[in-house]
Amino acid sequence: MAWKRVQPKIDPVSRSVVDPYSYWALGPGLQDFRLPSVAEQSVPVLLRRKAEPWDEEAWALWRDVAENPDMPERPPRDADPFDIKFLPLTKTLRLFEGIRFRRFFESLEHFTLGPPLPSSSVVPHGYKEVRTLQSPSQTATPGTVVIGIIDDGIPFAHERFRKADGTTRVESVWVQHGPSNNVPIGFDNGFEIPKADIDNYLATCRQGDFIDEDDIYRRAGVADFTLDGRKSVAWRASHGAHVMDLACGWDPNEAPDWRIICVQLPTATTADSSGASLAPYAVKALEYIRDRAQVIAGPGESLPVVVNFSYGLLAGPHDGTHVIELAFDKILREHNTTPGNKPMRVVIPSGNSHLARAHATVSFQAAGDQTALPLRVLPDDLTPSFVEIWLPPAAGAGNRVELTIATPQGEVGPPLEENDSYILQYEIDGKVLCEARYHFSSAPTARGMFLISLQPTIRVESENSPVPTDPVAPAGLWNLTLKNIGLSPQETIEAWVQRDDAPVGYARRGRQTYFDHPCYERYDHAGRPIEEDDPTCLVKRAGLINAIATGNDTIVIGGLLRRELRPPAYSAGGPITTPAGAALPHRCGPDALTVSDDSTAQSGVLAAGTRSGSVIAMNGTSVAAPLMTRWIAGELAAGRRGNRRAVWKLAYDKEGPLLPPEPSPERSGAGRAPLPPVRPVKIKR
Amino acid sequence: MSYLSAGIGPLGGVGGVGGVGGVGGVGGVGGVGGVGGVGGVGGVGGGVYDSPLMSDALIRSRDGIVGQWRAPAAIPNQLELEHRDNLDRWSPWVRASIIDAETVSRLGFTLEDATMNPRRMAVWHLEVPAPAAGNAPAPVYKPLILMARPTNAVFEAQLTLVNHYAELRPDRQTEILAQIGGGITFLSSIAQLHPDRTPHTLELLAAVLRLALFVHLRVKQGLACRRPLEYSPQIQPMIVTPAHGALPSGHATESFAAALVLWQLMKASGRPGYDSADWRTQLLRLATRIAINRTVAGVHFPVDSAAGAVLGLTLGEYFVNRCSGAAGYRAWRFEGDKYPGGSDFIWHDLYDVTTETLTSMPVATGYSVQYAANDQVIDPQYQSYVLTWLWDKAKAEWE
Repeated sequence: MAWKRVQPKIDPVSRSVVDPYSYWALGPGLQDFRLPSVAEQSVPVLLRRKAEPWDEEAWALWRDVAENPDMPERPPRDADPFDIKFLPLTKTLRLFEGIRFRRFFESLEHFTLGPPLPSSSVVPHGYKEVRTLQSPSQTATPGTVVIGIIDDGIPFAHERFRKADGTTRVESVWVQHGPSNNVPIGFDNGFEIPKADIDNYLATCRQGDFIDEDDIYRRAGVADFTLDGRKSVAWRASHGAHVMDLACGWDPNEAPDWRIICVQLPTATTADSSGASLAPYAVKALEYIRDRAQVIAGPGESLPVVVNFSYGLLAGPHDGTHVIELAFDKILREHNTTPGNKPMRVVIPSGNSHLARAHATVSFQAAGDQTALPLRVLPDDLTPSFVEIWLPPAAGAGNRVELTIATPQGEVGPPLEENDSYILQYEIDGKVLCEARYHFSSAPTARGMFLISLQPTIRVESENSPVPTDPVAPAGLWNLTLKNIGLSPQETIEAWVQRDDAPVGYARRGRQTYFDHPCYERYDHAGRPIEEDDPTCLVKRAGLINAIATGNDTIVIGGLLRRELRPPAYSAGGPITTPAGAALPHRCGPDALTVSDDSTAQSGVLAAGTRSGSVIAMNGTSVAAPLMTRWIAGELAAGRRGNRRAVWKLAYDKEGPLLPPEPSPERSGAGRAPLPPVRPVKIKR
Repeated sequence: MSYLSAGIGPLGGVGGVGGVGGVGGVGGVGGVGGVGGVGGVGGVGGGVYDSPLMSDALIRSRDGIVGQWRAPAAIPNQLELEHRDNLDRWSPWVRASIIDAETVSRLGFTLEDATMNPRRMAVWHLEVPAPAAGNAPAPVYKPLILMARPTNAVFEAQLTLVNHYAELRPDRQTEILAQIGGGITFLSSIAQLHPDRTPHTLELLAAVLRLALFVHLRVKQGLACRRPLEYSPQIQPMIVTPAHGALPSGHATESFAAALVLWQLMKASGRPGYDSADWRTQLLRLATRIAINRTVAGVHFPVDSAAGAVLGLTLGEYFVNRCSGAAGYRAWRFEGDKYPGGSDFIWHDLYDVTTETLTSMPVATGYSVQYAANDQVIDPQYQSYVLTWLWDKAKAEWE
């Protein structure tokens, strides 16, 4: 009996609040969640509280678990619904056990974890009282605009971000990992590199008149080979360098007063494909950019801000209620509705997974109908794989759908029901290889889902053992069968495989799991990839939009081929899922398309490598988004709004004279908006 | 392979492929001449003489027109003994042997005796006054560089850096493969080296590379340092680890020596601009990159590069001074046992590009220190006319 139904030893209150990935991360997936060979680790936790104020007992528990003496004894009255704190891993592991923390969890809507940092990177005791923020280099002018970059491999010494006088336009960089020797005021981890330091490096890291950028990044601690960890900026090209040049790079002699605030996400987060959320880091990054922009503006003043966040996930609710989407929307809405504030915008790519075979939709004609979803799990996948199967909103707490799972060897498990309080585990020798659980996401998601978690299909070693001792899932075709009990033919189940792929320049560890259904045709008879869905096939291209790009206030940009004027085959789109209780979805897909590739043959667009003077080509919706960020920065600098509506208007106006066919609104939003290239290209548009 | 790299490739071969260095070196340098300035002439004469067709034709041709034997109307004077002008007459590969005799015959190698701790490998310059009246020469030994082996604790600490640098292997792969035989093609991306345009400069660089090769291989034999992969099974270099010692790095020694000689030559030409720090900075960055690429590849510790850089820059300057007839050179020490184990190789900690001198660290703690405050004196009257001839010819190519 390898399959079994298990009653989890978790308090039912916390069960409804805690992100289901967290249970896997701290349970059967712990060996992939924790950092190898780091004794003391700290886990960032993101809370979304219920609308009511902090309850005293809940606050006391939170204060206790966060081990932060700076937190006041009495709960703050006007506390933010979102809170992020680092907890020791050992403490986090005990949070869900028993009922001790019940009152704390009862006060929450949502609780999610991010991947850990070494505790040496975390100073949870705050720096607020000790130092004051450095005043900015110079006071803002009417044309000043702030560009925020949240990325990996931030080339802050690059000439494209310098002024004519040789000083940098970068106001500060927050490196979210690394030694906690200069933690930014108001934040808990990593270190800050202020403009004054960068200018000092630019002046002193020289041989003769030549600036030595190797030496700058070494001295700044981001490419010092005596230190652990990835050094993205030591490479010829980095995602962050390319994105940042497209968003706000200028020849120093032509640079307008565009100030830059950067956040380097922890490299472990960037490399992570274990399903642990980057939410706590991303939300803190946006808050940091907002706060530092305010410091530049000065008291009582405001500056327009546009932030580029070229990251993505595949699986999620896709209705604007992913925790990152909710937090970003809230930050934006709060900022933009405060009287006197200049606008703040966030630009996100629509995703590159149009052809990833990672989305399926299932609906049933009648009760008792069954649909099989064959899931291809590849060998040599060093990271766990996850599938989210989202059910339509329910009126009551009944059981409308059952999930059964068959292993590649054909061992079929017992069914898992909607609202099931048991979980399914597939075990060998007492080790869990696969787990499935039902999770109800509270409002505003207000929908349930099945989360299926699988161990890696290969391991090289284990902690303290040169031969692997941790569980390995068999590669092959895992069959997920959905059986209808009470769904009507109009109700649709939507399934996504979580992203499991290496970012640019990182060694591949994961391999992307996908739905391998015979109905799905990948290529036409001429060998071209098929970009349109077969309506009769349940595996879809449509709806593979980046799972953090379905929010209300973020601006979402897909890719475009400058020559052919159509989206590249990878550029993902909607539709998105209608939020629970809404009549219609609030967006159909991205807001617009802009250039991600010069042409099919010349894939990618040109922009900076990590070192001054270098140019490389990179593609993806990740490089389309910053082109729109740049346009929005110009709009904001000119005193215009630069919001979603302005992007639609831009796309309508640009779309007008373009040759048909106009891509579908799900794929392209308001249309194609080929913006001028940042680096010279031969194709004139 | 490009025409250029074909032209100077053999030099790289000399530098990099240690095993057959001596023999391969001679053949390799012949390649320079053949492909280079004399290439055209060699083409007409050279290989064609060897063909049975041509030799038969030459026999028949002579038979047809030779006529009756007669004494020559006049004969030429004999050439000057041991004269610099004669060097113009010889094939480049012949000159290479003559040049090597000038450099290598003036070197001595010893290991300090057991009373010393650490026992350094010492490289000596031999000053050889011209003997009079049939007497044997009486050379005087002068220190050039002394090198001490790092402790095993230093190498152990350096292993972590080698592991960290492995991250860059995919990024540096083409460079690493292209530089396996040495990085001289890369010099030509900064200075305009071409076998047709700068044949004597290439000959000069080949000479300093062979000098560097002799010295670093001899010092490697003495210091006998294990390679990174002998310390850990997880280094797994991306190229085959050469079968000679780790410290000093040959790539570092050769590329720093060649970089220094090249910019000193360019500067000596007097062309405006070549005296600016920009040219030497860029050449030193290139040498550094070539050295670091060997750490990325997994075949060298950073301390090997530091030792190689100090050795290469010392040898380069010594070579330039011997060529240009200077009255001395600066001797140096590399105290490997004092190298801070966790430290990376930072070239500008070792060399000041503005003052064009190696930076002498505090004697008590430093690993790169001058041997003495004054230059070692060499008498210009014992200057090698062979080296001067080559230097002057090469210098004229940059004016």
